[in-house]
Amino acid sequence: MIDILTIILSVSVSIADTISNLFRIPGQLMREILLSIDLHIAKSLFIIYFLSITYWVYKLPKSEVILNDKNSGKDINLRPFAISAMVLMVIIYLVF
Amino acid sequence: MGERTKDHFSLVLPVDTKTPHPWSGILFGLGFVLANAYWIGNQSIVQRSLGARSMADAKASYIFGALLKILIPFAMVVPGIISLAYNPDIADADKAMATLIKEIMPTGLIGIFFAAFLAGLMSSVDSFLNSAATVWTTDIYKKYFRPKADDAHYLVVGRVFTIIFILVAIYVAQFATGFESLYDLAQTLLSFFQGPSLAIIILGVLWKRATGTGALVGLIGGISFSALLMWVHSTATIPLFQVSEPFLYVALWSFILSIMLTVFVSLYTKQEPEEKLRGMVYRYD
Repeated sequence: MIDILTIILSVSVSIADTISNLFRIPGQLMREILLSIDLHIAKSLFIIYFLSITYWVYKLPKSEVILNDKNSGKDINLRPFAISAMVLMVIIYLVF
Repeated sequence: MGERTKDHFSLVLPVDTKTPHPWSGILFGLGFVLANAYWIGNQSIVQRSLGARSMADAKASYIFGALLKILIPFAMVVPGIISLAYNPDIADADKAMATLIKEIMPTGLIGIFFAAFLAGLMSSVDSFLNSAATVWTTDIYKKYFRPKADDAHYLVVGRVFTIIFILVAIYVAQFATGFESLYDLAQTLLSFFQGPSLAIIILGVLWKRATGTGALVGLIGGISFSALLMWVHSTATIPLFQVSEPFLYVALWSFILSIMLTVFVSLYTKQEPEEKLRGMVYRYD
């Protein structure tokens, strides 16, 4: 019984090692590319990401962001709230 | 507080950080995949939006939720940092909050705090159990096993599923000790499904050529790939990823594979009829 388990375990490790080796070469290459990116540039990528979403929200048509509240009958503009959330994210990433 | 804690005030950590949260994983895995999968496709979020009175309420709830969500990291991180300042040598992150409460709160307040904590925990757990039981009862059991039973029958089945999920959760809890924190365990479990499910949701909403068969293959292929990556990482002599818990990268790669599989299979299967797509695919009325 122990022998069978040992064989299954060693075969599993061999299969895992083979798959791992296949992925390791492209993985290591990507890792080296990412390691070469300065942390300040990385931080900029986060900020660019949030600013891109902010710009997308800003450019959304009015019909998507101004909605009529059936209860009060008033129009609600969601754009300023969505932009505020994104701007807060940008500020957080700028500070930390 | 020394070298060990120098990264505690930085959101952008180097790729070779000892934590499971390098900037590359956070940007590509969390920012592009897991966060979007949670807000767009997580049952607990979607179910609440679908229950809104109107489209205006549903959209407003998302925006308000996003604003509130920004405060949550402060609520989670600041007590941890205070705890670290009190106990610089604390080794187990999951004990930070409990240790802090024990040290700074008077006896009566500790009881009130834990009552509030348990109330919050039970509220979240019952939401997740309810939504999981609903999905399994209505979308799987009712659809494939007993389509014509009465509501009382489905109620009983829903309760049985709830008990099963609790037992599964108790079983899974034993693996928590093998992870750096409970957060990492939860994210690892989610990463199996979040990437593939986001892939098929995005393609289904944005691409009229996506088919049901393509989505099914993409979903199963993506989940299987996640499981394969995790298995290889934990079994191989040299771990596949160089971070201890690679859930961010697993979610990213399973998302990419699911996109590729869904596109490939969709192109080789018959397109869904136009009347089925109308109103369901973006800008396809």
